[in-house]
Amino acid sequence: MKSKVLAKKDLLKFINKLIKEYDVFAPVKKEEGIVFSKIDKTDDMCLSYSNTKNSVKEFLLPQSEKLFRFAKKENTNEITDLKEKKRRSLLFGVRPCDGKAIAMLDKVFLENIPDAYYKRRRKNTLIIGMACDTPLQTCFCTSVEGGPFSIEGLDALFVELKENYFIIPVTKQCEKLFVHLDNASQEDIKEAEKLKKNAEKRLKPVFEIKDIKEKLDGAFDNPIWEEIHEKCIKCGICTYLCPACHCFDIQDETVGEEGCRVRNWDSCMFPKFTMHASSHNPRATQKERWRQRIMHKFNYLRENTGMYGCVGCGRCVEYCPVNLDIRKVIRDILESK
Amino acid sequence: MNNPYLPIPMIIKNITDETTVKDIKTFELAFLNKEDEKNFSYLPGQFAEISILGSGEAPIGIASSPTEKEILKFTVKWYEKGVVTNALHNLFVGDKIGIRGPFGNSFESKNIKNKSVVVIGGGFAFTTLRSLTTYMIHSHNRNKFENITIIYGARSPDDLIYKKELKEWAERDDIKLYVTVDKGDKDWKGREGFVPTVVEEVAPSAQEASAIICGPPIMIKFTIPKLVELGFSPENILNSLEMRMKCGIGKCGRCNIGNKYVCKDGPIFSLAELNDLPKEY
Repeated sequence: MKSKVLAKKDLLKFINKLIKEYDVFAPVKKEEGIVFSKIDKTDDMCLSYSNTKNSVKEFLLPQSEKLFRFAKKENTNEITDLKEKKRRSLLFGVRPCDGKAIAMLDKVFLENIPDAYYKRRRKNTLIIGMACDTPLQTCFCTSVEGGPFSIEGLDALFVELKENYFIIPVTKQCEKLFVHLDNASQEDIKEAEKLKKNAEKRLKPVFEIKDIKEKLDGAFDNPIWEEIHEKCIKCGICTYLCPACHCFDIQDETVGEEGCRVRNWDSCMFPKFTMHASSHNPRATQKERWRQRIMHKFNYLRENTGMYGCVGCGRCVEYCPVNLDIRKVIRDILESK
Repeated sequence: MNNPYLPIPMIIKNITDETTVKDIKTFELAFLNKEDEKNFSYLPGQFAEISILGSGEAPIGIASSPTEKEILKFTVKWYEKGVVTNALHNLFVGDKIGIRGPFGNSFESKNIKNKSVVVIGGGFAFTTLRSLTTYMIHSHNRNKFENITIIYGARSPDDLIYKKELKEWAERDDIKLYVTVDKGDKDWKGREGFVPTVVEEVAPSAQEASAIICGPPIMIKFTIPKLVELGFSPENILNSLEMRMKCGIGKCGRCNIGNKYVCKDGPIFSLAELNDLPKEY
C-alpha cells in the first residue's frame, strides 16, 4: 500500500472514528507524567510527548493478568478459562523503540509453543507508531539496531510533517484505516525523509553494538561484574519500565473457596526470582543478577531470537533512582580487559 | 485455542511414604478425562508442573514410566519454604489436583539407545531415574539397550526411596544393581560407602555406554571425575538440572542459563553441553 497523508486538522476526527470501533490507547497527560492509557475522547490525548513513562508492553503482557478462575466447591476444582475481549484494541502514538520491543516479544511469545494469552491480545491489537523527531538525551535506539523512524513491530507509522501526518502503512491489517486518505506527494515523502535524517543525526552512537556479543561471550567471569551492581538497590524499576523485559511469575490469589491464577511481571533484579524451595539460589547476589540482565539482553536473546533485549528507549537510564546507566555499563564492559 | 497454562485435571489414587520421617511421598495420579490421558505422551526425564489451585505450581520430574499405564507418579520432598510441596503433602487419596506438561527433553533425546547405560543416583533425586529404569527393563524395551547398571546411594537405609522397586530389580538377572548407603543400621546387609567409590569399584565399561547421573551436587562433583577416568566422554555423561520454573515453555525467563532454558532445552544436558554453559545452577 502507498504512503498516505492526513491533514493535521483532521487527526481528531480520524481518532474519533477509531474510538467508535476500537478501544484506543494513546499518550495521556497525568499527574505522574505522560503515560500510555485508554482514551475515551480525543481531548484526553496528548501528542506533545517525547516518550511515555510506561511502555506499551502492558497492553500485550499486562502487569497483572488473570489466567483463569477457579472454585474449590466440594473438591471439584472447577476451572473457568477467561473469555476473549470482543472489542479490538488500537495503540496510537507508539514510539518506534517500543514497536521494536513488540517485534522482540513476538519472537518470545508467539514462536515455539505460543503463549495463548499474549497471542490473543496481539491478534486483537493494532499498533500505530509515531516517528520520533526529537529524541531525548537518554535515547539510544540507533545504537541497538533501531531507529527513530523504524517500522519494526508496527502496523503503521505516522510522521508529523508541517501540515500533515505522513503515514506509512506496514501491515495489511491497517490498510482499511487509511483507504479513504490521499496518497502522499513527492514533497511529503521528501519532507519525511529529511526529518528522519535529522532525527538520526541527533542520535550519536553510545557504543559499538557489533562488538558486544563476542565480548560478552567471554565475559562471564570478568571482574567488572563485581563493580557494576554495587549501587543497585534491587528496586526493579529498570525491568518494569523496560519495553522488552518480559519475565513473569504465576501466582494463585484466593478469597475463601474461590480464586484466580494470575500472571504478574517479575524481575531478574529481585533476590527471590531464582530461589529454589530448598533455599538454594543460583543467582545469590546482585552481581549475578546484573550479569544476567545484561547477558540476557545483549547476548542470550540475540542468539535465540536474532534481536537484542534492549531497544534504547532510555527509560531505565532516566528513572533509575541511583543513576545506573546501562549505556555506561555496556561501554565499561566493552572497554574492560 | 490450545492453552498451555490450563492444568489437566487429575485425581490422587495413592500416596506412599518413601521414608519413615515421612518427608518424601510418592503420589500416584490418574487422569479424570480419558482424552487427556491419550494426549499425554511422555518419555523418561521429562517433568510436569504440578498445580494445586490456591497454592500454585511447582515443576516435578515424572517418576513413572510411560510403560506404566493409566497412572503418573511424582515423588516430592517436603520443604518448609515450598508453598506447593507443602500443600501437596497435606493432600489425601481422592483429592483432585492438576498437572501441566509433559515438558522438557528426555534421556532418549541424548542418544542412549542401543548402548549400555549406567544409571547413577543419590538420595531422593532418583525420581526420573526410576522412570528411566522401569522403562528400560520393560519387556518391550529391554532389547533396545545393552548392559544396564544401576548404582544408587543414600545416607541411610531409610533414605533409600522406591524400596519395593529396588527389591524387584535386585532379583533380575538382566541388570546389575548396586545399592549403597553412607552408613547402615543393624538390619542393613548391603554395601556401605559413597557413590563415587562404588562407581570406581564396579567400574562399568565406558565402551558404547552412557552414564546418567542425578543426585546431590556433592555426589555429582565427585562422581563425574571417576566417570571421566573410566573413559566416558563428556557427550555420554548426562545430567538433569533443576531450576526454579513457572511457565514450563521457555517464556517466563527464570530457568534461563546462558542461551538455554532448562524447561525446554533441558532438563537433561550432557556434560559437554554443561561445559559450554555458565555455572549458574
